Amino acid sequence: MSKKLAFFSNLPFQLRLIAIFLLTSALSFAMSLFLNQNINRSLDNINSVYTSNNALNDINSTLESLQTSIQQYLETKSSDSLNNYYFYAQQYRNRIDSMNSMILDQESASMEKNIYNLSETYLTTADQSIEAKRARDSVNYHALFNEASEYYRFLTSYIYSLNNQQFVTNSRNYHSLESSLRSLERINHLMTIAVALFNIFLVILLVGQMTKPLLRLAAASDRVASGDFDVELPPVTSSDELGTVTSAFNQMLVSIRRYIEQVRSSMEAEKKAQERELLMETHLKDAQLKYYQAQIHPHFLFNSLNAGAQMAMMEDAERTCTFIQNMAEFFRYSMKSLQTDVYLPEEIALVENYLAIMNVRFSGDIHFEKIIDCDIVNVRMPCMILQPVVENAIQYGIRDIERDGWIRLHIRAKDGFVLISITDNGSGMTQERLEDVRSGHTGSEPSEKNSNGIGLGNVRERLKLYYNEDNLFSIDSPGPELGTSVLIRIPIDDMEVL
Amino acid sequence: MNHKNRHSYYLTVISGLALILLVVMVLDILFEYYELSNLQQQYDAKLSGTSYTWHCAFITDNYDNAFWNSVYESAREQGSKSDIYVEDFGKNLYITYTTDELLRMAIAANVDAIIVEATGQDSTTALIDEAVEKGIAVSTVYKDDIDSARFSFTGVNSARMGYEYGKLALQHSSGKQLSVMVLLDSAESSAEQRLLISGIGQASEEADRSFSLDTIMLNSSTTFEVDERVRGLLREYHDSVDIIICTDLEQTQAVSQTTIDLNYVGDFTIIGSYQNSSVLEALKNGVIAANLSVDTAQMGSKAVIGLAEYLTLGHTSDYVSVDINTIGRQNAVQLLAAEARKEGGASNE
Repeated sequence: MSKKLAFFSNLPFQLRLIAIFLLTSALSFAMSLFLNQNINRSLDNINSVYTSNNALNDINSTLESLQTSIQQYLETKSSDSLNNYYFYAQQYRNRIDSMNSMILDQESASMEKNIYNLSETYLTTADQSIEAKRARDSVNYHALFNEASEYYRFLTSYIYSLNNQQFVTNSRNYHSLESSLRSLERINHLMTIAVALFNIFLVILLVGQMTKPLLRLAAASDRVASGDFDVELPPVTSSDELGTVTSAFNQMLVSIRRYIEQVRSSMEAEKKAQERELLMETHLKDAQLKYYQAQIHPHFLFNSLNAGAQMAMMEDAERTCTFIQNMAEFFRYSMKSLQTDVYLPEEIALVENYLAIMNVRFSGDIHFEKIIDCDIVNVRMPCMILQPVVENAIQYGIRDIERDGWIRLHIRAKDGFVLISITDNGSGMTQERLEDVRSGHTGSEPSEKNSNGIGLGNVRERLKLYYNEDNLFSIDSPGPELGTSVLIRIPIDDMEVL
Repeated sequence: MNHKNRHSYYLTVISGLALILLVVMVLDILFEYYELSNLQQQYDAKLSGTSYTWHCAFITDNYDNAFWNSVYESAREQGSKSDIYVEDFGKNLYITYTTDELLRMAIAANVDAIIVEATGQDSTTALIDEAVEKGIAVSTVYKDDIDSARFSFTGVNSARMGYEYGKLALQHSSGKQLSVMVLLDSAESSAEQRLLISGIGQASEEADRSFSLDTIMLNSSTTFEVDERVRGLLREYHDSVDIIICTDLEQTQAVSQTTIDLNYVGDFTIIGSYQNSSVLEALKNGVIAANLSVDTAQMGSKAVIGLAEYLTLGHTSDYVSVDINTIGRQNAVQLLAAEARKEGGASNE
């Protein structure tokens, strides 16, 4: 947009409408003025066409009167005729004063000059003849009158000829001017139409320029009203009232979009949380169901075990007492709700209890090694995570091997995680088996007899649901008879591990 | 095409048409205005003219023939170069005036100069003297008035013209003894006529051949009289006359036409004067043997050059000679072709 138009579009609406009205009016007025001026000029010319003929007729009639008055005076010598002579002589002089006395190469101008000079000679001769008459010089006045009469005839002939010639010229001029007037009339019509067209064009252009942003705004509003908030923001092209409204509309639209986005994301987050909670509940229920299936009357068993331990202590059966205490401790821990979270040392203690029990069962064949490289006192995690892993290592890894079996628990902190690796030197897995276990198809379910009923799949899912994060559980094996290694990653706050 | 596109398409077409209409209108307005300005300019031009220092009255008693038209036009043209307005005095008047009347009129009109074809009459001489007395510069052209106070004469003297006629007559005839009829304008002064005849005689003497000269007076100002007289003369003398010398254009036209009409072509030799298209045709067809012609353009311009000298310097040559041209059959053909080309060009314009 040019600077001028930009300036125009920055003017207030009212001022712009007034400007358009004034501009078109000024154009029409200028056209009217121009046409009137031309018409007036032509009319003036037409009016003056036959002026020269009228003037010549007047000169001729005065000349006739002058000649008659001379003749009358010479005949009668009356004072009336003398007065007439002076009067007409003066009138004639006045009238010929308007004639051309210059030497011009133009026929009528040249004839006027001849008439002018002939008239001077005629008037001089007439004066002389009047003077001669007054002086009673009868010979001279007669000759002078004859001479004046000849000049009079020359003059009448000249005036008549010039009059005719000018009439022809004037008629021609009249026709020229008449046709020029007709041309002017045509120009008048054409210009009226042209200016009207131009005015319409101007009004369309300027009003269009004024209403274009309004139309854009209306179209955008229309789409917004029908629910389409992705509409392109109408550009703010001016700083007038419309510009203000457009920018307010744009601001409103941006705010609405942002608000909708916020609502949408919070709804999505809520939905995800709900889904997760639901899934967790499902898994917990599943674990609890299995737990309850496996554990019959755990409180009765726990109480009975404690009674057994006391009895063994009284009979000085120290190892039996320790065994029964371990059993009681194990079941006490198992009675905790799976929904609660625990400290990592508690989980390790459970693993140790479990291994003590298992070593009694397997005659101390399982060696347990614990390496802790960081402070784990404050690390919290879901309950019953490590024991199922260790149980799995015994069940599928160590139980069936001839050599001494060992399990190594290694805890360390790295990159905001506590890494817990549980490694055994058991049967290991083929790559195919490993893939199956990773994908959760097989092998991760606990055996009915020697398990607390929680499989690796359950552990993996509970970790995922608890921390809302993938890849917290991984299992690996170098190959058959080469052992298995499980790595659990527990996300921690800075405060948990120091 | 959807509704919106169709709408903008129609709008574009209508805008385009309106724009074309507007452009056509503006062009038409410009054209009309140009025409109007031309008309106004023509009108204004009629009311003005170039200004001159001197006013010269060009006076002759016969403006309507080609000879004087040519002289006047060249005089006017030369005048415009020399700051002299040369007016064909009395031509625009509805009454035809005599040379004397026109002279009186010019004196009364207080012109600065007069170029006049002298009449040979005393009254004209007196009027020339009166004009000179009143401070008007007077020069004569074509015909001189040697007795007047005119300051200069531009033209050819009659003796020389006669000599040239004689030479032409000798060229176009054979025989020792020739019968020659000389047609003279009765308006010509007797002195001039005598000079002309003596010129012819001189030519015959130089050629050692003898002319039997008959002079016939014709009033060239009235065409019918010339025609009638010529018809009578030819009927009477066509057998006996060898050469007919015509001293002006009217006589030349009348003699050549009558010779054709009466089927006398070849019976005698015609020596003519001056030319127009019918005379050139007669020359081309061999009806007229040869023509003598004064260089009219030169006569007009030389007269004004002399006048300009006199008005500015106070003196000039007393006699300014003008060339005499002889026109034969070949020249006639060329002149006719040039005339045809000129007319063709004019009609094409």
